[in-house]
Amino acid sequence: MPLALQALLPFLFLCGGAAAVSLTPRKRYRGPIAIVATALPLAVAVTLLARLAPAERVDIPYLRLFPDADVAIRLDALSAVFAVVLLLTACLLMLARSSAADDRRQPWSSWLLTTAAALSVIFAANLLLLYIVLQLLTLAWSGALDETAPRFRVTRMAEQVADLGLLLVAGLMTASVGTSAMSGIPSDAIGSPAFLLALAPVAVRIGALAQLTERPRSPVIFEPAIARAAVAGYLLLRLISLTGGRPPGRAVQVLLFAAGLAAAALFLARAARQRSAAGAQLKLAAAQAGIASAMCAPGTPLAALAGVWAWLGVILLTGLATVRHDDRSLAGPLKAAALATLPPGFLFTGVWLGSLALAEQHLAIAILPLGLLAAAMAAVALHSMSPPEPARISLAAGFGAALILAGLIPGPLLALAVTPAARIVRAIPGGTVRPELLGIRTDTAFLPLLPVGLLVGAAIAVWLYAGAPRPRARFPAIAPARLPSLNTSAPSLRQAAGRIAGLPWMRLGWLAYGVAIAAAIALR
Amino acid sequence: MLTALPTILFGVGLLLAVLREGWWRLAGTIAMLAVEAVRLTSIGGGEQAAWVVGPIVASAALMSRAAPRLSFERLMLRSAVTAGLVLAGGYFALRLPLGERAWTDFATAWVMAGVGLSWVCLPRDRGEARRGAALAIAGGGAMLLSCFPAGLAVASLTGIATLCPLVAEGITRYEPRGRFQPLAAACSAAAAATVVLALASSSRATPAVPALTIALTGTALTGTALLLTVAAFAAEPAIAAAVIVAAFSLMVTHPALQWAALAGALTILLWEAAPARRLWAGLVLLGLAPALELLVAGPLGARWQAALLGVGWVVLLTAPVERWIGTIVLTASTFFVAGAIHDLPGAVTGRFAMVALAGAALVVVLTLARPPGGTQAPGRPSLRASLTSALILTGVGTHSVTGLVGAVLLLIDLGVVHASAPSGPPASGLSARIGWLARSGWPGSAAFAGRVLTVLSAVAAGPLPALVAVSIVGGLQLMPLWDATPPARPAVRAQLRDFTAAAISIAAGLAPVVVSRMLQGS
Repeated sequence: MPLALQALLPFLFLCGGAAAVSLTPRKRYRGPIAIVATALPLAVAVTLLARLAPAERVDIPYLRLFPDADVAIRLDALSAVFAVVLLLTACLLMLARSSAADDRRQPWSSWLLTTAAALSVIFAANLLLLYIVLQLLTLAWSGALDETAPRFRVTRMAEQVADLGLLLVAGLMTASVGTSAMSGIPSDAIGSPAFLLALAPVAVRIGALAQLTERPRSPVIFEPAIARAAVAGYLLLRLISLTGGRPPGRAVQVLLFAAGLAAAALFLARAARQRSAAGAQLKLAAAQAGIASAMCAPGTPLAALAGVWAWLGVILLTGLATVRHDDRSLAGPLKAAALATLPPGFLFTGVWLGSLALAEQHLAIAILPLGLLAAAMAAVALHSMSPPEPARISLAAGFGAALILAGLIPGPLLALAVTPAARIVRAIPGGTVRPELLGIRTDTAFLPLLPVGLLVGAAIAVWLYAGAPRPRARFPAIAPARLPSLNTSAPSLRQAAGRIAGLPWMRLGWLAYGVAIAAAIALR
Repeated sequence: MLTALPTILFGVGLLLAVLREGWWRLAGTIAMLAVEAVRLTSIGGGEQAAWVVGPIVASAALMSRAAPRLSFERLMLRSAVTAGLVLAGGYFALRLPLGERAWTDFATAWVMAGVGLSWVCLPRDRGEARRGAALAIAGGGAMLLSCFPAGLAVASLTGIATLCPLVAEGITRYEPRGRFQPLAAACSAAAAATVVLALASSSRATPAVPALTIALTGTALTGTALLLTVAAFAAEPAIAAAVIVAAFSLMVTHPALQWAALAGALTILLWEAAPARRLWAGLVLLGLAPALELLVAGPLGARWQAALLGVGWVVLLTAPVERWIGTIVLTASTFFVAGAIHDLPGAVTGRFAMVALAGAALVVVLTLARPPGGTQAPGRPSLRASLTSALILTGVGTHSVTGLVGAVLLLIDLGVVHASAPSGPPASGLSARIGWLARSGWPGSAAFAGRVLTVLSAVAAGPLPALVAVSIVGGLQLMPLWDATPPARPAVRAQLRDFTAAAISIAAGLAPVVVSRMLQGS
């Protein structure tokens, strides 16, 4: 089958599925139709990944609708791997939703369209198209055709405004190099300010992840993993790939690392203050997105591998965290273990590779806050654990167990997904990371993941079932009343605001306009 | 004595026209017009005298009848305005002579336009406002014909433009009845034909009629198609008449005919004194632009032209006019200015961009200076409309094809989709969703595509335009937080017009490259 047609198939399946779900009169068939309509694109994406040669990049233009920009698909290992993980997560979330009997709502059509929009973000071949499909994605997940609708209004508008940063960069590229196509942008074209502007959509989506709260009536929350985590991770890695594999300039690298860790610390503090385990896990997923962003900062081959691993993990872990579970089921401890950043957690491999990348750059001091954060995240994750009743096994439990297993035996995932995708982000010398039976080896270190993970896992199990004393103390909560706050009701501030508002703005505007006109005529 | 005779005759005519009513005023007006015709003949040859036919017919048809007296304060104000405008006209004629000709050769046109404007701005009744409009168009057209002499066809058509107030009076008596509206159907068919013509014509071989100085450029055809679509949606005879005249103004290239037709088109639409003042201020500035470019020679003249074009356009856009009239003013003035800036020297396009940007900032300030939410005064544009107008200013100010395409898409959103938006409770179903999408700023709508292209063109133009454009687009996206006014909702039973508006918005929003092709030629 021609690649141009094959690349379109996932969209056809998803949109066709959405139409079929809407037209099907019997509600009980809608869930299975949606799952099949997501599984088929997953199969297509896996085939696409298998068809692509190492480091191969293919641009497939279809038609020109906007001046200076084609509707085109960008196919490489990075987009294919993210597409596979996105569709896998969507499929699992839909499976989890269809197995829940206590929710009669029918979100399938909206979910399928959201998945299609997120997939189009991943496959967009130029920055202008990327901006357009990002807006489409916001429309798809919010469903707010009426722009004044109060539902998700703040998050929706924040995303819309932040995406303008990407539009500005697209315009800058079109003006400076004549195209915003990813294949036509030289690696030095995006400078530090443009890179930071383009990061605005990433920052807002990570922030939106942290705003997520429990919805007791929803067995699954779909959009965090699909519309935010996947998109934020893909955008960040794609931008780094456009700038030659590292954020442009030392200052931007430091800023990205510091901002990522600061965001992770902030979200972790919020996770520690959550009353329920599920709420804490949602915030933990957001904190992991901060860690993943920081991993991408050094811009070395190991950092590229760490970044890809971490972001793929964040998508899956966010999906896992958004599946509701019973407190006494096996899913609880398995989810908590998978979300921990220490063994047997999935993200540990990424953190370890990131630490090695920092050590390579002689930035051992930066490993300290990273390690502290990882330890604190593990503590918060473990705190939410409770002994399960072994008989109650659910899909979420299987999802968590699979993630733990993939984290303990990282070889297949590294070879099939992470390394090919990281090769698109930047050049990776052969043998940078060598998976072995018991762990992974780099030029400077060996990490025995499997034995360490099994040992720690066994210790956790013993601790849970033996009724060992669990850490009860939460992170100290700061009462809002004790915080120094700006007293906006002070008469002086009100008076000042009133005076500013009372100025004759219309006359001043016309006056300033007159001055501008005089300047336009008189200035030589 | 022989050279002073026309000036004396003009003075007598002026006094009669200003101070008397009925036949005496008509006689005075005809005397002024006759003197002006003689002046035009001496400047550009006998063919230019054909200009006088239109104004004489218009003056005779709009002959004054008994009208209510003005109060003392208003009479004093009007006298002061008339004196001020007449003196200003004389001053301009004195300070800005054309070549070696005597200043009195031009003063007559300036003074005639000044008298007409004073009647428009402070009329005793509607009839006097129409007489004033006719005299102002005649004076302005004559002034431009003095600067840019033309042949028989152009001169006579410039004069005929003064009949527009007369057309307005007759056409408002016609009321369309029945469900089938032949006017709307005819305008739709004409709009479709114009679109096809624009897509089929090549930019390298623009059809032109030299005697009439008509050139069917992509910009003119696109503007005509858009104006005709608005006329089809409005389905009002006055709007259709105004649209035909406005479209004619876009197609002609002679400054006198162009300006007179635009002024005539707007005269057909508007009779309320307050908005008419603002509109006429804008029209005067637009008319002065080519004249000053000629009279103030050199680079300073070009800078004056660029600045006046920008200011005139901004003044027109800030006029408090309602729904369809606002749409016609916005569309006609945008395409008028877009066509005019093609002729600007390259060195002053930056000046025009500066003026347009300052205008966009002014529109934003004027919009934000008013209290949020609440009931809207009649004729007051919505927040969205104001910000979109500011974005149109920014887009055209970039002087690029992308910016112009963006501006056209925003005009489609504002002039076709939102102006035709029906009111009523929210509907459900696929057609209602399509209606929502067409009226929103989401991808797939003309508004979205227009905003994107305007930002792209502004980024290419420089950091300041980019900042202004992005700020406005951000404001449009955050608008629901500021303005609590709910948007127009799809009606329970959508009409054909609503479907057409949605289809136009979505087609233009999905494929802006088609609009680009229309503007540039195939």
